[in-house]
Amino acid sequence: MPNAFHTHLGEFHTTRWSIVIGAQGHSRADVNASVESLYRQYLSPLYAYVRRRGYSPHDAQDLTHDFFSRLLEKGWLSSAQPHRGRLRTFLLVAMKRFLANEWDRAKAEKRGGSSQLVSLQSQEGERLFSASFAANSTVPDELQFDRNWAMTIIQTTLDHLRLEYERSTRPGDFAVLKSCLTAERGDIDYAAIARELQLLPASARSLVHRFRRRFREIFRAEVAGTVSSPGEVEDEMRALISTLGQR
Amino acid sequence: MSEAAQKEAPFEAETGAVTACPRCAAPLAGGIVDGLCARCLGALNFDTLTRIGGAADEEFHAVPTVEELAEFFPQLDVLSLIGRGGMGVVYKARQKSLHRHVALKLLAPERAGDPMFARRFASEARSLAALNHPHIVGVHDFGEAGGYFYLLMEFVDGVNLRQLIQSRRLSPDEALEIITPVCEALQAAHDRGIVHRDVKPENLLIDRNGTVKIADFGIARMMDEPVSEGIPEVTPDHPAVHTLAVGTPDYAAPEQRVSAPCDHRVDIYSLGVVLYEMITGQRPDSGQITPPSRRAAVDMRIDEVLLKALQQEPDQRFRTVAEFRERFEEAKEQIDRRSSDQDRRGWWTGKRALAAAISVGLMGAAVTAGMMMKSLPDHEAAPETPGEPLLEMGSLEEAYQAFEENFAALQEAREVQMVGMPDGGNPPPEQTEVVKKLEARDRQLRATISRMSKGRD
Repeated sequence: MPNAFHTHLGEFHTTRWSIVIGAQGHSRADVNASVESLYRQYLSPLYAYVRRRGYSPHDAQDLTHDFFSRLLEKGWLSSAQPHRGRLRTFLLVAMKRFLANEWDRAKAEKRGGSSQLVSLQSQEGERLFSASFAANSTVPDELQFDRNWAMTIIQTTLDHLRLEYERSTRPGDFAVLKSCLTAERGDIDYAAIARELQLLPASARSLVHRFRRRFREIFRAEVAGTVSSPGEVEDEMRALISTLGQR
Repeated sequence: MSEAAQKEAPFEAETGAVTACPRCAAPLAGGIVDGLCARCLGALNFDTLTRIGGAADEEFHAVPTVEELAEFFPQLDVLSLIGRGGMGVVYKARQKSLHRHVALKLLAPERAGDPMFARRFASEARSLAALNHPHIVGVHDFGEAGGYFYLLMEFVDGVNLRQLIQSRRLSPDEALEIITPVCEALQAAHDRGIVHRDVKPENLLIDRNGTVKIADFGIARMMDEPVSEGIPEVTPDHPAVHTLAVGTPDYAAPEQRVSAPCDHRVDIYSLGVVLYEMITGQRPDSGQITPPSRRAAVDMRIDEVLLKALQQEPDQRFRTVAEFRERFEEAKEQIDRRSSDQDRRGWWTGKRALAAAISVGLMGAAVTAGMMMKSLPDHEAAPETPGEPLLEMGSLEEAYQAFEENFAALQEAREVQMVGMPDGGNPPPEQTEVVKKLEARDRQLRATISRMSKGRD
């Protein structure tokens, strides 16, 4: 079983961080596949962080790309230190160290040639960066990184949920049910939802309930993929979500 | 929150305009995902409060009306609601094309739209439809409509065994008359690899001619296993919700109660409980089982058979339902032979006993004919909190209103506790205390409502 496990939907590679950091029993290929999936998912908050540190878009693209290459080359991930804890913290610390020590050398060795993937992900990263830069320029960079990380997980959760519904027997439901995620429960107009989705009124409530529950399940699973033991999930969820409320 | 408003202004931050989330009042800038407020989305993860009795309770109160169903089932005249339970609701309907009565069963709607469930539902429904047996309620059709998965089934005009045994205790002869066809049907299903998993008096129907039919075959299995969409459902707010959803605790075999792997022998156990209840009027005790002969005037040979069916270990039970039936019949024949010289009144009544019993049952149950489920299983009732001081409420409506208000306040307080104040400030130091107080009131109100609702029944 590769580190990235496939859902029946196929596209989602929820990386199991705990396996990555305890990677001794795993092949190099497995670890690399797993890092690649980390890379897809978490490049954008890292990119936004690098941008916030004052690098140009072009440099930030190269940097994040090199950073991930180094992760693989140096075997940082397979050095098996389960106490490394959370992926979020690990990546931020590693990136800081990389920016301080490695960047000059990396720049000297190789320049340019970032993959298409980097440019795609960095577009998202650029969006995160500029959205946060305008409004929250006083927020410490680390907090902003955590906040972007939280939003990335939320975005992944929504994408997953959207895809699930697109492939269900009721593909149209997602767009309508989505707004119920942030609505006050008492404010949800079940009758209107039933009309719009051609449901029996009694089932609208259940559909909304299931939709919200499913959001929570996927979110939790995503977070679980970034911590080293199940006991940390709850804490990490709280830590992430609290960043969204802070100034 | 209006979806349209969000769509128009997804990235206020880019233009420098700072708008606030209409719900939590936090500034939206930089905190929007897919047009929704990130703070609210995050908070949703801790929104695991349940209303009274949870979703099941809400569904219990909101069952589609006959009129509402008309639009979704144009092929039917839906006539009346005839039963409701943990796994769905049942209506009596008339199939327009064939001029026959059918039972329309809507499964509990939480699976609506679930692609994995849809697939399994279809495959299970097909194997149920193929289970063509005179003593099994037939499945005519199945599908998804209006957000429900439904089964269209043979309509049985009669009573269920629960109604029959509530009217009086049955003799072993009568019990045998009912159990024999049930065993035949179960054996036929087991031969095809289909296990009922929820054998109980409510699911054993007896029509006006005295023909016994098993209802809800395989439904428990359908509703049971978590339909995982690739991500295991290991949330603390839904620990093992599916294990209890299946079966009714009193009739479930021990291995079912602990979610251990189970096979056809769970049906043997449940059938043992049913038979025990038919003969003694009570269900077997949970620990050491009192032999039926000590509770009713039956021979000790019956004890032997029943206690074997009710063994905790599946290996110690009968290997097949057919074997169970043979042993029960043998025991009865031996008793019959021995007592043939004696007066055979009392427990050993004549052959027509069942039909007579049913006609008695029917008088009392004309209204509920064909009822497959009578009430919610106990485990779905509102949670009782013993020892909670009750609040004085003028009416149930008033109590519900107080609950709703407190519930909203509690949700809000928990959100502040979890993610801070809407304006980004830290939660006030007394917030934990506030939440505790609201939680205490929540418990009191739940207990009060639960008590008041019981009084009303």
